[in-house]
Amino acid sequence: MLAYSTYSEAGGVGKTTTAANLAVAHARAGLNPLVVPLDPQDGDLSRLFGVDDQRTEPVDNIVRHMIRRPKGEFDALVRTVEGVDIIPEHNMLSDLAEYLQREKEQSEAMGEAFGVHAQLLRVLREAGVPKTYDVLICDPPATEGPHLYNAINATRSLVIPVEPSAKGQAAVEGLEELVGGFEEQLDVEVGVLAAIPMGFKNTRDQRSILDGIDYPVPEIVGERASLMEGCWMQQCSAFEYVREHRERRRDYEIDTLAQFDRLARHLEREVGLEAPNPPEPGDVDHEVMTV
Amino acid sequence: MTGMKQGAGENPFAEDADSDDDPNMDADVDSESPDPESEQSTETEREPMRIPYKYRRDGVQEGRNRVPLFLQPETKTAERETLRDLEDHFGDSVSLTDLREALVLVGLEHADEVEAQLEEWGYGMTFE
Repeated sequence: MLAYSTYSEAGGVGKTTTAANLAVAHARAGLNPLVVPLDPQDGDLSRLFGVDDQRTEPVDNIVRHMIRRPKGEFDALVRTVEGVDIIPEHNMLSDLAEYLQREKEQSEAMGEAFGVHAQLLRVLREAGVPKTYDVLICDPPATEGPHLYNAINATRSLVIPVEPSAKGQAAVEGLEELVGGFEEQLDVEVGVLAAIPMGFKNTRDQRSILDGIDYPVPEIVGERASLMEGCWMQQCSAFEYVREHRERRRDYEIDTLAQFDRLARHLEREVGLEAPNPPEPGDVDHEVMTV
Repeated sequence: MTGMKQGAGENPFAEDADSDDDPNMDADVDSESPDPESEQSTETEREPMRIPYKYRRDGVQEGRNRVPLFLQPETKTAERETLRDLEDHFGDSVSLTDLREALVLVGLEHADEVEAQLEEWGYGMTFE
């Protein structure tokens, strides 16, 4: 199974749209992806795909499973959109740290260990996710805390959308520190599958910053504000948006879709995963095989 | 800027994950161990075959006590490079915890070089 978390230091870089469009790109190629978004804020992946209708309801959700208080089966949490299985975000995520801490104290009082940063991994393992799914994508918030740590621990690989600016460069360096500390604490090894410069305008400064990125940069995505805004408006992926909501197809938008397709292939190759039905990159009308 | 590995990290769902299944980020509890057996092979006496430590334990922390370690950035980088080289050599992932203990053990065998390093940091300076 290919597993990765999308990470970017700040909003607006396109972390969530990257996770969403990569998930759809994997699904288009006939793979079975699961997306676990963990952002406690609105404007998250569940909203993008329109599966956030119950986030304030007292329903079963990922947090309950992480603190060993599930109300039902893991599979019952799943919502499917555009061939992608999603575990919707819930408002309980806002207090995740507190819930985990309380559970830890409770467990320790009983003489058991409870790793607060290993709970998502435990839930996914127990649910048999590696057997059911080909791809696991976590979309955690960038702030340091249990959401991010649980995601990194459950995937051990990162995809980093990065703003090609001094700020973006500082963010990547900050991430190194954060992950380095994390690796030592947990004794795990985290890898970076790809850095994806987003909103590239090809200035000299930007080019020099790209040269400073030490990770694989399989694609450089240009400024696609209008396309991404359209996705949020219509609550769908960029593939669906261009196919269903654009009156005419714009070449540069098709190019961006092709980039997501190629990125998905790159990430799959990194772990030796072969998609059964890969589309011609950017082929909007590619028929998705459903098994 | 080469802190993290390029490419995929380890497989979090590997059955034989070498890392703790139930890691405790903020654990300061020493792992309980009766008495960690010394792993140094003695060349003088032929020992009967026994299962190497790596395969005997349930997790990398088994039989070890936690000690905090503070490293300068360049040391950490060098350590990482060594880890990569060893992984290439063994064609297998090498646990950072194992590497560190190996570094300490080997360092203990090289007192002169350790002394020289400390002198480089200013030990043994006299101010007269």
